[in-house]
Amino acid sequence: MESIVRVSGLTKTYTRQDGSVVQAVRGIDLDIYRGEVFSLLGPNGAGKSTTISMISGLIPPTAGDAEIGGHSITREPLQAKALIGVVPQEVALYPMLSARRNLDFFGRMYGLSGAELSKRIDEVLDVIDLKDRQNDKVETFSGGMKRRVNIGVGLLHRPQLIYMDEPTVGVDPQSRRRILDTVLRLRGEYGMTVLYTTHLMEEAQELSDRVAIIDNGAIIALGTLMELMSQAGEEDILVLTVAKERANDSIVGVLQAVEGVSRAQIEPSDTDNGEVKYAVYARLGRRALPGVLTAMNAAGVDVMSVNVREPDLETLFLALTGRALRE
Amino acid sequence: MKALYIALNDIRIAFSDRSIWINLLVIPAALIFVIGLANGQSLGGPSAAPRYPVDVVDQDQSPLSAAFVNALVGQQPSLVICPQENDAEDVCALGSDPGVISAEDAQSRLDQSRTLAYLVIDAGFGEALRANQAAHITYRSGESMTAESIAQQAVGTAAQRVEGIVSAEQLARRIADDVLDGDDAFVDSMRANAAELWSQSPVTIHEEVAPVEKPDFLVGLQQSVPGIGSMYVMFLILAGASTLVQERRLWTLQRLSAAPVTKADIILGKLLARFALGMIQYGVAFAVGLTYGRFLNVSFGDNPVALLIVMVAFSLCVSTFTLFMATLVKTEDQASSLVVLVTLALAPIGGAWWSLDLEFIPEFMRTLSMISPFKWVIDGFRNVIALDQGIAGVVGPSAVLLGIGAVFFVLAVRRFRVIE
Repeated sequence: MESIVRVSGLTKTYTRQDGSVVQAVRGIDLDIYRGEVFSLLGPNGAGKSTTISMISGLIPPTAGDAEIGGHSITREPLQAKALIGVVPQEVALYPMLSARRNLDFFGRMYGLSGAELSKRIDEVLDVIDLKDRQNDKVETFSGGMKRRVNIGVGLLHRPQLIYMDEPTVGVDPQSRRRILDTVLRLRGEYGMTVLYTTHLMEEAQELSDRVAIIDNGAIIALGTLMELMSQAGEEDILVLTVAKERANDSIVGVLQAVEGVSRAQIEPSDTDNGEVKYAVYARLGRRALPGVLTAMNAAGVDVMSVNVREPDLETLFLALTGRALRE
Repeated sequence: MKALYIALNDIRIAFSDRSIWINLLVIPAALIFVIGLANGQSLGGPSAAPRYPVDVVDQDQSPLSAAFVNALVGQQPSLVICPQENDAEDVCALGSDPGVISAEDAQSRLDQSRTLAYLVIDAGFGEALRANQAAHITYRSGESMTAESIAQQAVGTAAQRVEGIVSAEQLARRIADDVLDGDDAFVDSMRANAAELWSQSPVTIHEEVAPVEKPDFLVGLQQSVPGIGSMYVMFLILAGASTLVQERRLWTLQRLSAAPVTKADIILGKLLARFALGMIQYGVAFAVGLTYGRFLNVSFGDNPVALLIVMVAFSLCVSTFTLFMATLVKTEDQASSLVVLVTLALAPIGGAWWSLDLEFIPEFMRTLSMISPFKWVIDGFRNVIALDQGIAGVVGPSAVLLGIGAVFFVLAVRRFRVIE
């Protein structure tokens, strides 16, 4: 497959005012293929935005490089930037200007002018469904409408790669759905490559052809959804909650003896809330559940609640880092 | 080209807020007038020497009454003898009937303070003089007029001259009767010669009003228009620092930087926008000044090109300082506070509120003023408006302003970051 983005050894180091050094991004290598939706998934502060800022030429890398369509972002920044459409997390628009004026200004920054610019603006207003409000000031728009104009600016010059940095932050469910549909439409109808950052596992799973999970400035997993799921393991996890006074060491043995269960363990917990959680690993968790409950009953242990976890990116992140994605 | 679009966009944003007109026009116009008033000299510069009309009503119409009027004409430059000295501009304000003034008209004009005084030469004035009898001239003036004595002196002088002519004529008549068998031609010749001689003598005191000396510093509106105008230019341009910080907060600056636009384009665009806004503010200030000046007889020199040069230099200087300031502040509040502090400190120090050439300004203030760009821009304006030095007068101040601007430009470019 042809790469449109090639990142090698991308590193960003900051020196704080107290002199301490922070490694925000630690030598990232990755390829993004033409026409795919590629998601960077990671908790807040993982280094997603810093990575994207370097790829889009906003901040210079301390080391390494990124090539966009064969153009180095450090050596040929203007050529590389011309291929990228940027949709930042913030609503990066002039609130006191109309939607059309905003589109017009940023279009000119990408070298568009005259009838061609006017035509592109009309097209984009169609895509973001704001033609009837085009002459209204952006400051009068709802949050969702502002987000749509924000995306529209990134689409104006028909970029080969569009990067969207958490575009659904702070929007209502209806606007969120519309934004996700727009992303799918960009790939399906326009063949654009989309680089999408999010900390929401559901969005990454719905949109992405490939996902890179980033934590502490490094990529800890990268692949298609199928590949990542297999890394997460093919087994479901049954989480049983038991009152602390009824818990004992023999329960793990009881659970492991149930048919279909491969292993069981006590889940580590930092808090003492009078409960103990047992994680029971089974290939078909829901099918093994009746046997598990029967065994616990026979052992005289009352189960307070049961939670079935099927493998997903959240599970994978938890397995890789020991932390939840939303922490 | 992209720099131009960036500049136009910034100007459009500035004018999208209609309240800009309050700071751009309303407040400067009011301050220019008030500060102009406080700076004295009736809001303006020097005025022309005054001239006072004196009406003459000649009811005698004899050669001697004509000689009396001729003796009055041209005697004092500050007096206009009406209607004899009336001119194309109708300095006597006689309107459509400039020929003869009646005694009633003369009284009416005096009552309306349109004249300083009037004279009535009674009928029989010439005959009475020849007969060595009392000849009457009525002189009336407005008692409150300070220039009254000038007219009185002129009338007295004219009367002396006529008496001299009459004496010469009487002497010639005696000689003609005793020696020349009553030769009237001799008498006429003597009278004419005497009239000619008396037109130059006896010695008269010529009152000359010294022209009001043009001051060599800015006063009135000439001070407040460039001074307050420059202060508001600085306010408007420096507000750009806050705008840049706001653009960072809104992320529009970052988005601009993510486009295929060079850092030079961004800096140049932002600089051009602030410069253009500064020049618009100067345009408004001088338009206001010229409007006031039209009614108050105030001019701003006769070299608009020189004025333009110093305005351009000041606007560029402040624009580069704005970019530099934007690299120092982190928040819009910090920027706004700094704008007020810097402008209100530098403006009076540099002579934007009053001339530093005034006698009561201490010497150390004049020395201190050199750190303020206002000192240099006001020097430039003074050299053109008060000293008529033209372009040569703005070269030095403009060079200093451009030098300061160049230093801040280099510092700003080195420190400018899209993401702080």
